[in-house]
Amino acid sequence: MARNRQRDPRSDEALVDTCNHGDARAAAAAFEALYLRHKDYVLRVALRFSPDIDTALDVLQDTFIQLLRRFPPAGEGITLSARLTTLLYPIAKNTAITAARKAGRFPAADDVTPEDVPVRPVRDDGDLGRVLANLPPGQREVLTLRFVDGMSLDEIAQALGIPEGTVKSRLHGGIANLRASPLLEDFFD
Amino acid sequence: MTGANEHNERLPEALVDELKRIDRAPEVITSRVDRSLASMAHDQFAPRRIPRRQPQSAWRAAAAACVLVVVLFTTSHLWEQDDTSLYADVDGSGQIDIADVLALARAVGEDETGGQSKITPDRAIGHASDDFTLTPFVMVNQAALDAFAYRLVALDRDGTL
Repeated sequence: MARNRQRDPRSDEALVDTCNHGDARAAAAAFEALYLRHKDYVLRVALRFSPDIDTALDVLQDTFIQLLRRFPPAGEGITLSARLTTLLYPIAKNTAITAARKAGRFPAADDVTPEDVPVRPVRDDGDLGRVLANLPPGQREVLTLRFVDGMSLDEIAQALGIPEGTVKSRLHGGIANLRASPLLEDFFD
Repeated sequence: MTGANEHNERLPEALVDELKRIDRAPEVITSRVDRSLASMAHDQFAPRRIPRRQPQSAWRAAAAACVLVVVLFTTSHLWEQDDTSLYADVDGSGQIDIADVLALARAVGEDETGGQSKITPDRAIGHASDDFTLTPFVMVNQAALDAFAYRLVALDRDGTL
C-alpha cells in the first residue's frame, strides 16, 4: 500500500462516496485511503478496551472489515451524517468488548451492555492514569472522546448513542472529579 | 456558552496534552496488516464493473452517427437526381413517353457487357436529343429503365406514381 495515499487530499465524505459508488479500482483505493487515515485512531480506541496489543490489532482488522462490508455490493452503503470517527468508534469499541469477553476478561452475561464494561486502564500512566482509572467509566470515556479525540458534544452523543444532555452531565462530572483530585492539583493552579 | 459552562467543559492545556500522551498507541501496525486490509478491499469491490474509456467510445459513436447521417443525406440526394434524370424527354419528341425508354434501352443494348451498361452521359446523349443531358452521376441499367417505364405506365393510368 503506497505511503503517499495517507495524504489523499479528498475528504472522508468524498472517499466514502467513492466506496459507495465508484468502480472496483477507485473504490478499493478510496477504502485504502480511509484505512490509512484512521487506522491509528481505531487502534487507540481498540487499546482502550482490549486486554493486550494482539487483541487490539485483531480489533483493528475486524473494525475495518465491518466498515468494508457496509459498502456495496456486500452492504447498502454508508451515509455520513457526522465525522467518520463517530461511526468507527462504536464499531471498534463493541468489537473490542466482544473480543475481550471471548477471552474471558469481561463477564459474558447477556445483559451486560458496552456501557457497563469498564474502560481498561491500559498501563500505569502516573498520577493522571491513577485518577482516570478511578473515574466512573462513563465519565472517563466522555473525557477521552472530548479532549483526546476532539469530538464535539453532539458527535460524542452520536458515537455513544446517548442524549447530548447525558454527555454534558458526564463531562461536567468528569471534569469536576479531575479538579477535585489532589493528585492533579498542579494542573489546575 | 456561559462562563460557568465554559469552566465545566474545559481542561488546562497541560492536562489535555497529558491525556493525549497516555492515550498514544505504540506503532505496532505492520505492513502485513495493511496488505491484508487492502486485499480484502480489492476482493470486496472486484465484482463492480470497471468502465473502460466509456466517454470516448460514446463520443466516437456519436461522431460516426453524424457522419452516417451526412453520407445518407448526400446519397439520397444523388439518387433523387438520378431518378429525375431518367424521367426525361430523351428522344426530343416533345413529350415523355415509352419512346424515350426505348431510346435509352437501345443505347444500353449497344453497350451492354454485363449486368450494367458502361454507357456514359456523352454516349447516351449520342442516342438522344440535344436537349437531353445526363449528369455524371447517372447509372443507366436495366433496373433504371424498368423504373422509368413503370413510372410512365403509372402516370398513364391515374396521373400519379
